[in-house]
Amino acid sequence: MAQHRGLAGQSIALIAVFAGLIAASTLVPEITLVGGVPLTLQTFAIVLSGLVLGAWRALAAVTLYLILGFAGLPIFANGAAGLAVLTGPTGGYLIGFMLAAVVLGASASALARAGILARRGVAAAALIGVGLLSLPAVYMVGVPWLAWRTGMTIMPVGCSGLTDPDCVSAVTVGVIPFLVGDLIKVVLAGLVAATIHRAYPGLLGSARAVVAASCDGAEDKAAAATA
Amino acid sequence: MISLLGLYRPRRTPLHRAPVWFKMLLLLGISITTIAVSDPVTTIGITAACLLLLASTLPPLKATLKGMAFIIVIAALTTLFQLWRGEYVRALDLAGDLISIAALALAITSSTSMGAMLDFITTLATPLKWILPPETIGVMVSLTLRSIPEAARILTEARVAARARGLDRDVRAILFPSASRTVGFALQLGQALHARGIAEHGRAAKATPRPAPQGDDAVAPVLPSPPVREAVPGDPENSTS
Repeated sequence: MAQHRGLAGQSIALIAVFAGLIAASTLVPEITLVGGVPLTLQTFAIVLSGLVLGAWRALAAVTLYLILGFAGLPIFANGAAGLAVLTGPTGGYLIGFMLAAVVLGASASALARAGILARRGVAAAALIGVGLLSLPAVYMVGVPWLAWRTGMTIMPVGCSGLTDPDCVSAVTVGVIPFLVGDLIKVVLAGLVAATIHRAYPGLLGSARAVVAASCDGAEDKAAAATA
Repeated sequence: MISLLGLYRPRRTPLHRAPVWFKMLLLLGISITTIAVSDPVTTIGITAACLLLLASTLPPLKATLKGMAFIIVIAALTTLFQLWRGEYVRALDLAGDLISIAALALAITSSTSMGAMLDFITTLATPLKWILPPETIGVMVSLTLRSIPEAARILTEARVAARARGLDRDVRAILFPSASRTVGFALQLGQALHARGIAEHGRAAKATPRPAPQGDDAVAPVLPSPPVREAVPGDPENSTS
């Protein structure tokens, strides 16, 4: 069965459930943070998929979510559906999600192979650090797409004041307002992913690395996972 | 609360009867045309045609307006921005591009059932069948559809539990339990799939049958392989217990 591992039942279930989680994260009402700031969970779910599933399964989960959305299920942000989202000005962000899933998944697998995920304390910081890669990955595709579809320049050039038309650019409209929220979501996703890898070791990479690393720490893995 | 009703309504308009590949080609062609052509007259013509096509599919009014509202706001902002910079033709061109492609895409969404669209995507994925057999795509799609309400239920339950503890502003009290329950659900689902032999032999079934073992080297299989069963869409309610 080794050569079918990529499509074994567990992988299929993980892919499908995470695609469902990404879809559900746009459907449930947003969480209100302290101070009344609403927090939508879509970016969180995408980053979490990358960090938990690894490159191929995360790509499959995000692609599956996008395909269902394009096929007409209203599971994109704000209940939008269909191909109009892809062809619209924000369609680049969706493609960026796929890129982010691959980048994060590959990096998280590398962390798992290095045995970092099995060490408490280090794991969360490393996963947050990897998760930060999702911001450039998403914006790298999304911002030029937004600029192209709305005729804005990508970067503000020669900006002198708030009433200066040169100040309006894809970066000021499409990145800066969302940056703080995205950072919060990445940190949360990193923390949650660290918990998941502690509770379910062996989701990524080989179980041998997990066991070896936890034996080094002379710490009961089960106790660590439930602590 | 959570509505999963898309834009599609079964009707008998010309666009409903057109094959999916034709509609997708139309969308691709119109997209390329609107991007390549920046002549104002052509832009207005294409936009009008796309809006008429959208109207011809008799879409549900409220959902369509909601779908178009976002694009219209973006198009209005873009137009204002370009007018501000004094580029009138470019303003018209960009707004026309945005609205026409969105209208056409909505027309396709409202005239194509999800099943037809998924069939089309599966057909597109045929060259990949050695990696990704069509049955596996079908299983994954139906499992995803089943797990959307499940994931939404887990998230909602976590919020209710957090509120009961007075932690409804604490994001960790919501996300940690729901994420680990979701992974646990996925792993249980995976075991259920494995136990039923679903999608385990996706590639093996396509491959040439294994040559019969010969001589004394032949090792009898210790355990029989799980039975190959047809994937039944909508079946996974058995596997969620």
